[in-house]
Amino acid sequence: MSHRRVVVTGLGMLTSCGNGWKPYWQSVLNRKSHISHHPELYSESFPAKLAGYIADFDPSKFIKQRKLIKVMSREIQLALAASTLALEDAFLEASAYDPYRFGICIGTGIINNDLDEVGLGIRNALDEDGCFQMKKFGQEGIRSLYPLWLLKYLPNMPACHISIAHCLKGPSNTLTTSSAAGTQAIGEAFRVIKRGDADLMLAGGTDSKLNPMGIARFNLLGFLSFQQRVPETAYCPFDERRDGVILGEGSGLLVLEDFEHACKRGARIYGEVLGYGTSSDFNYDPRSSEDITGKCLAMTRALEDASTDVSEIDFLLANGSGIPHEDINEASAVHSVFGKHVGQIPVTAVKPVSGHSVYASGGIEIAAGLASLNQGVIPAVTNLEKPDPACDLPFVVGETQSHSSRVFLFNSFGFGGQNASLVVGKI
Amino acid sequence: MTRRVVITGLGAVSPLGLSVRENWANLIQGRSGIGPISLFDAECFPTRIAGEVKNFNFDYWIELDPALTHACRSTFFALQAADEAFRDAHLRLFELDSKRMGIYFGAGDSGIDFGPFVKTIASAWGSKGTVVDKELYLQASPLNLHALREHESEPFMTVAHLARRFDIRGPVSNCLTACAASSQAIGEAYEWIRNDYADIVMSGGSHSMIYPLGLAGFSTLNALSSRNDEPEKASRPFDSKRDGFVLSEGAGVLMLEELSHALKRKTKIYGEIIGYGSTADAYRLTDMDPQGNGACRAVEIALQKGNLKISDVDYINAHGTATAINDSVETLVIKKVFGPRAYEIPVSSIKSMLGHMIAAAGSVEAMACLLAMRDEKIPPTINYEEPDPACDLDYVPNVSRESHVNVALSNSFGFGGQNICLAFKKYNG
Repeated sequence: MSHRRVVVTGLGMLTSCGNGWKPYWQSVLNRKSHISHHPELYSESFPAKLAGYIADFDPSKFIKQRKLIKVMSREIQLALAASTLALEDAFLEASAYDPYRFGICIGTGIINNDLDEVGLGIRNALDEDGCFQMKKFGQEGIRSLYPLWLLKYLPNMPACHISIAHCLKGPSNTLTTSSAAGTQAIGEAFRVIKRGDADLMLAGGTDSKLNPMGIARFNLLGFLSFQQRVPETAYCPFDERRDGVILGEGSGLLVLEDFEHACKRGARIYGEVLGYGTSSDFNYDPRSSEDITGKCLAMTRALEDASTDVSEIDFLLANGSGIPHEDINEASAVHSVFGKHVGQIPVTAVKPVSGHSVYASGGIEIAAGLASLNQGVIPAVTNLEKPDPACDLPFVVGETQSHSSRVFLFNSFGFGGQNASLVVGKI
Repeated sequence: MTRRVVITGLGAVSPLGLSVRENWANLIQGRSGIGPISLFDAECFPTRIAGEVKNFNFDYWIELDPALTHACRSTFFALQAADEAFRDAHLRLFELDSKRMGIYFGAGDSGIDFGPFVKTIASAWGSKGTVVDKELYLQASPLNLHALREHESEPFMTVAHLARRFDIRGPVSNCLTACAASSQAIGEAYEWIRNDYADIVMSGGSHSMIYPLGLAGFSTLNALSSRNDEPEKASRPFDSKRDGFVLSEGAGVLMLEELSHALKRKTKIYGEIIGYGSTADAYRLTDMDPQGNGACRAVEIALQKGNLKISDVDYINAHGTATAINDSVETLVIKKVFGPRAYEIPVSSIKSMLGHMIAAAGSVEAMACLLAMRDEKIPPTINYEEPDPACDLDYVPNVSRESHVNVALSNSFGFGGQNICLAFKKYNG
């Protein structure tokens, strides 16, 4: 095995907290949740009303070829913006790297159709009685779709647009493992650099389920929170009153870099990826999962990969989705992995700050962990008032803890039974 | 210590058959699996032909496991191919450490549950400048859409079912890099084993885009052949009258195993993976880089990782989609990398027979490389009638060829400029 070390030298993100990692981190520190009533999806009759949506995103600020914006879904636009911010944050000018040594690994899933676009095709396929006719769709329906329509929705398009915009010709991959995808992408990109296939990787995720198809799907699974109280306090993982997910949207991408490469160009280093573990459990139906072996295995593997003992972990950045049984499963898994050390490890979670951004969540949340390392604090879990006794972990509650940390563990668990954990440390 | 990676089991479901044996026999005989679309009424679409999987027994799987009731079409293909590969490798669950087994798959999306989706939209027509009223759509969705069917359409569910079925608890991932996906999955699975994250990885891919919006999407992109009257002649890679690819579906599964693990089990070995190159064109959304720079680099990386000289390569399984641009650029790439030697290497595209299985394409193409090594037979490029001056290599036209194959390459290129090259070698101890 090679001894290449992999460090984080840039952070780029868009969330409901704003552009870049700084407003996000400020919100995490101040326990300020950017969840609000979604103006378009707000409906009297629909039980879920809240979301962490990005109100003032202007893609044209980030995308030079304006005419391409039309063929970019929101997921692509957000990822492209995050990539630009990440490269700026890492002070990487296009001339500073060999394109073939700079790759991408992005977590993203189904990109949902714009209903107006596909709806037009369907409307043009109705007969006189208003019934849909496949024959008519084949002729008139598809004529109303524009030529590049399909390319707006292929999951690998965020990575492709980014590769074109920044001339990144190294390994390019797109992972579709649900809420674990962003973290898996970081872990796999870490391995790509470690094994010598690239010196630089953009890694993380992008997602927006804040569209009718995305919300409808989450609603059908019964995952959405129906909290009717003040939006800012509604999303509360690990709390007694938690009742599900409040969706967010966004993109978070890291610049991962070979340590020597980073040193040579005098890059600012946020932290080092020390270990990565991934695993599977058998929860094909996420509504009824009880199996925690996979979650344990992901954490254990990440610790082994990092050659780190549980006693060396300074804090845990938990998945904390807010789905009642998922939070309990995570707590049980943490108990099982940490054993007698569990009482000494402060646990925090950040999903309430900007909402659950599913495929993007890993790429966003890890920034909070890195900032914690660098600033010697551990933020409290936003909106956690009364921890559920069934999730018996030493949560950071109320005030930010001063804590000089060297290493943290970060969890992301997907809805299809895929799990990913990372161990990240100070350089 | 270098960990070597071999393939010990194969499984396939495609328009050319429901087993590896059937698929390979048909490929060697140069048969086409393309026919009229029967999965939905495509009569008035510009393209009405595809490669459909026929006679597949979905009920068998649902009876075996009711949890599959709402699974998507390609998940069933993946399960069956995986079952075949698992048996072929003589793997027995109780003898294995499930935590040292992984899955790295290139499973595609399953598409929208179209009927219920149309119904939902039809009860949500908008006004004031919108086609569909979002609020009404949300209200109508629980009445029309099925929760688990919706969940199954997410592209991580195929691997979730595979993990459960085969008791795999180690690393599990799924990549969806368009037409390069399953080749990329195989390459990444190889890296997992090589770098000691697992001993056995189930890899490959599954996909079906033969659904109304899939056909519509590729049609509007102008990527499909519209040779509707001669389905079997429609997919004609490298031929001068090629007019696009033919959509197809299926799954291919390869069991990748660390060499000493396989030797200990005394199981048969199809071949070894010795190189994997992955690059991006970073050129244009719709077109390949006409110079093929990214693709050349992917091939060069695969050769270099496998310590291969250009004279070592005995066969190239082409991406060969039968679009005008792909085939000429791929030809150029091979010439750039191999120089004069390019004209001596047999290059064939089995998409001429199978059509384009999109995310799953690379998996059966990898299989073709391994079986060509085993049987010393190279599958042909059928429908090759009129040479194109831009495509002047030896494409093994129309009939298979007996030929010793010690080293084979498989190319896969995806929309958006994803380039993958895999290098396989006969296992000679």
